[in-house]
Amino acid sequence: MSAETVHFEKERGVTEVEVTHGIVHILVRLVPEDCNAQRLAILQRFAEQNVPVFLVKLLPEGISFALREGQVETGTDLLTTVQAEMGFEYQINRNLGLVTTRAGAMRDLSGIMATIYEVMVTEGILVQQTGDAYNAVHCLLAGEQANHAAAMLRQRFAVGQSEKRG
Amino acid sequence: MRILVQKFGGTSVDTEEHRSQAAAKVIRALQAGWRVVVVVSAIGRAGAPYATDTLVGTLRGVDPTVPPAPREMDLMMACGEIISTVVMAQTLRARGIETIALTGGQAGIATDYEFGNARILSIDPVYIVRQLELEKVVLVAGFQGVTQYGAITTLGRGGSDTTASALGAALKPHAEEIAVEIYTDVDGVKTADPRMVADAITLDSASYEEVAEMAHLGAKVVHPRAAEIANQYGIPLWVKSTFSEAEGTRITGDTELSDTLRLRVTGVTHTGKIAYIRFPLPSGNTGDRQQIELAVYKMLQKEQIPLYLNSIEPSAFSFAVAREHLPRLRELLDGLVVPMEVGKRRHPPYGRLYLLGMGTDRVAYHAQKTMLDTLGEMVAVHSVEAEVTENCTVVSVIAGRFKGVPGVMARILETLATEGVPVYQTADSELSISVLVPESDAPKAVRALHEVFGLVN
Repeated sequence: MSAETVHFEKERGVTEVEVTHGIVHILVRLVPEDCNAQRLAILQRFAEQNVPVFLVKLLPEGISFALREGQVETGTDLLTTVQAEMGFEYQINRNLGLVTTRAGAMRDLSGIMATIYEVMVTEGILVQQTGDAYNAVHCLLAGEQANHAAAMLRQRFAVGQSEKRG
Repeated sequence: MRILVQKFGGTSVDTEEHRSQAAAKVIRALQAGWRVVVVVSAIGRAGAPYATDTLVGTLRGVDPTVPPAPREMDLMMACGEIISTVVMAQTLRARGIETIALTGGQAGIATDYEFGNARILSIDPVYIVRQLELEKVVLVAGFQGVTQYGAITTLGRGGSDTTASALGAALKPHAEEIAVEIYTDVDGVKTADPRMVADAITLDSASYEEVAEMAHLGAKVVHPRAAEIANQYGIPLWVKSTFSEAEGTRITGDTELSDTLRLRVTGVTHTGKIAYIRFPLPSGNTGDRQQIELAVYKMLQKEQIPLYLNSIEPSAFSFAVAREHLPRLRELLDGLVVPMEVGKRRHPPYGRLYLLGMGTDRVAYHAQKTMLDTLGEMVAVHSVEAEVTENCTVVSVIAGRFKGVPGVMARILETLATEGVPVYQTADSELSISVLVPESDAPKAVRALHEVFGLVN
């Protein structure tokens, strides 16, 4: 019998940086007085049409969310229909990439966001939206910059490579 | 041999009666033909003589102005588990059971050097296996290990759960069958905090990922580190009550759950006393947003303040911090000056500065503003005054694969709107959707979401 030399616990800090291509970001500007109801109505319409949304952000005067590129036509049709009823403005930003930085217990760690932003500012990459969970920080960027951003982050955090298609 | 690791939490060993009930669980396992390893937490909770918090208080109380060395603090904290392990061993011995009590180091648990939050590097289970072969019940002090050079370390939050799960993983190659049981004072993993939802259901089964997600988002069930190890090594994990005969919750791999269970909402959790901070930027300067964010995040990094629920708007950014950090954050950010392109122009203004205001009375902001005003038209100065929402908490719906079904977010927002609960922000992970709400509305929000997703009995 000998000692178990396998690692029982995850390494501390960042363990992985992934890229997901083919993401679309939608920003809807609503009338502040009726913002809550309109946000809800938009999300409900997307749900009724079975279009999954993620990275949902509530803005004081609107809502923003992301879709997979494959859903963009249905999404655009939906927005056009709802827009005719509610009269809001919206903006669709296509060909984006989602760079996900993973760590075991992200919310116990400090400095991850500062490091990510340091890399982005140094590389001249604009972060268009962010999201986070207990195990990840997501940054939405121009698709053509996503791989480079991820490579720089991997270098900075000294981790390996992972890529997905949206 | 069939090996069962049973972990008993502090409330399971704090009185003679409770230890007797814990001993009955061990005896039953022996009668069922298991060889048993018992992992024990420190006796009782804060205030109890050998509880971890009491031991910490004793050491800090020697001189509150001199913080104890982390190494000595770990040595002190580890005593709580050692005492309860020996007491529990004697409780079993008094019932005619052959036992041996071990510290984490004696059990072969090697850790790194991060005192107070050590990570298990390896376990040499040889001595435990020999004792099991001799038909002894092996009791191991939870929450601790030892460094390469013999210093006692503690494993941080959830340490005893982690010990139990890691021992299960280390003993697996030596067992025909292995299982880990985490005994606590509730009868399994609940769909919500029973203090908020009286009729919260005990789940029959859940996946490792669901339980880890629930634990990370506030459910006090089994520590996520323990669930992650069990998942990695395929160790069946049970959460049971020391004080009842209820079956408990079986935690297992996602693929072992039925399709119905995989497409369900598992529970509703709540966690944290949180402050939400938003920095609206002057319109027309959105290009500078990222530089201002970086300056702010660097200040937080310097003070080791974690931030989350980040969000970007066309002309604003926002994030949340634990409320305990808010006073320090105000000191750090009030009056912070972020320069942009200063000195790059040939004619005035020679650049622009952002001046952040965040203090309760914004003393530093006003002092800086007075000084910067003397620059006149030489430099454009833009004020950015933070909007702070102090009394927030995060309520999360753990939705597993169901999260991918369109409409979950809409249903959450609709439910909370109906209940009159304002939602400041949302966040989504692979397995959950979280909303930031006023702390005072958390019970209402948890109850409403628990009901709307059909988790009531």
